[in-house]
Amino acid sequence: MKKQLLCWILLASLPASAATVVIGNGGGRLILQIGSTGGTVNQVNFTVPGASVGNGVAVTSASVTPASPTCPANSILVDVQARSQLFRPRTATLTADSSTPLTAGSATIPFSQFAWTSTTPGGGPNGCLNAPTTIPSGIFSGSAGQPLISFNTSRRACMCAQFRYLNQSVVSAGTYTGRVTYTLSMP
Amino acid sequence: MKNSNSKLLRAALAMALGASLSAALPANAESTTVNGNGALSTNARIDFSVVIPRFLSFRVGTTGVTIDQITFSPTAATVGNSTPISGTGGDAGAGTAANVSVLGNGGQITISEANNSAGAGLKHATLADTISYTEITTSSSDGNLPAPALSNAGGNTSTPVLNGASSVTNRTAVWTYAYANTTIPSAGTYGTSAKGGRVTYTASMP
Repeated sequence: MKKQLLCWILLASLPASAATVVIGNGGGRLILQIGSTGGTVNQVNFTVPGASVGNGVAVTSASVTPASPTCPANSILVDVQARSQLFRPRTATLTADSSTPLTAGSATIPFSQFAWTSTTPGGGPNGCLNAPTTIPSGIFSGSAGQPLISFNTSRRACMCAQFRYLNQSVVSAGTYTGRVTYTLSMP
Repeated sequence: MKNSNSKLLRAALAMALGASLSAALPANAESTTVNGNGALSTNARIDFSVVIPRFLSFRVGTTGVTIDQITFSPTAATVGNSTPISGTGGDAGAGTAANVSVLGNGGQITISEANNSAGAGLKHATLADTISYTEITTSSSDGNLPAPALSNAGGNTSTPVLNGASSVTNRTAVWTYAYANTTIPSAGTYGTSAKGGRVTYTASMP
């Protein structure tokens, strides 16, 4: 009798509709978007004023090229989603590998000199409108496998990340470039 | 009846969970997506670019535009006895010295000295007598930031030690001045900016 009651409650919670969508019990799925869609790798650009090099005053990114969708100017969308099979809840984890420093010739800047401030994406296409979780703000550790967030499957986590260069040491003049790789995994 | 209820319950749960998953995972064909029954992993990247301009910063004595004057005042009983005399008026070492810092990021910095005596040395206020700049010695508190020896003609140089293997120089030191007091000049006041007593240090970076 209890099962019958539960069944009716569940059925009653489903809105009546002429169209019926049946989602099959498919395999697991991960979706990871950093910045632009497709194969584009966005670049975050900083320019440090000559009088400010190494003075410890953080420098906010001057631009993101190409501009990241959904997020405010100079910030990057990070959108992670995970789904597991029916009756098999799992945990997905987003990590960052910032172990290779930025280089300009033989000079380097460690990624531990870069931090980001998170905000929740505000909408628009692919705008994480249903995101229940905002990936927290942080500082790159300069190592591989830095955990950024873990979340249960059938969930979505997002952020608009605005980066800043901490500017805590005097470094050689030049244009430094480097790459951070984000990995979303679900064991 | 039990089996029938059980099947109905499973169907309802499947529909409810399916609807939930559908809402949480909107179709997004352009994102990096991986599917499968086992462990899954995927990655995406961000590039960073930082432009660091060349800069050179140099300080001798009080910060800003103030030009310090260091004055040596040997007593009558000690003039020419070769006992060094400390100065006053500097911004360090109780007036005997100057705080010095040099920062730059474009390679080996060179510090040179010059003065406004046209090669004559520190001139007497009213007479033609002079005191050679070699009578003023400079010692540095840090061997990584040595001071160029002063001279009448100018042009002596020193080279701060680079920080590590980079093109960066970031050094601070205290330069202490003394009057060597090895000669017996005519009584009077020598130097000041009006009488060839101003030393100009120049830091240059390639």
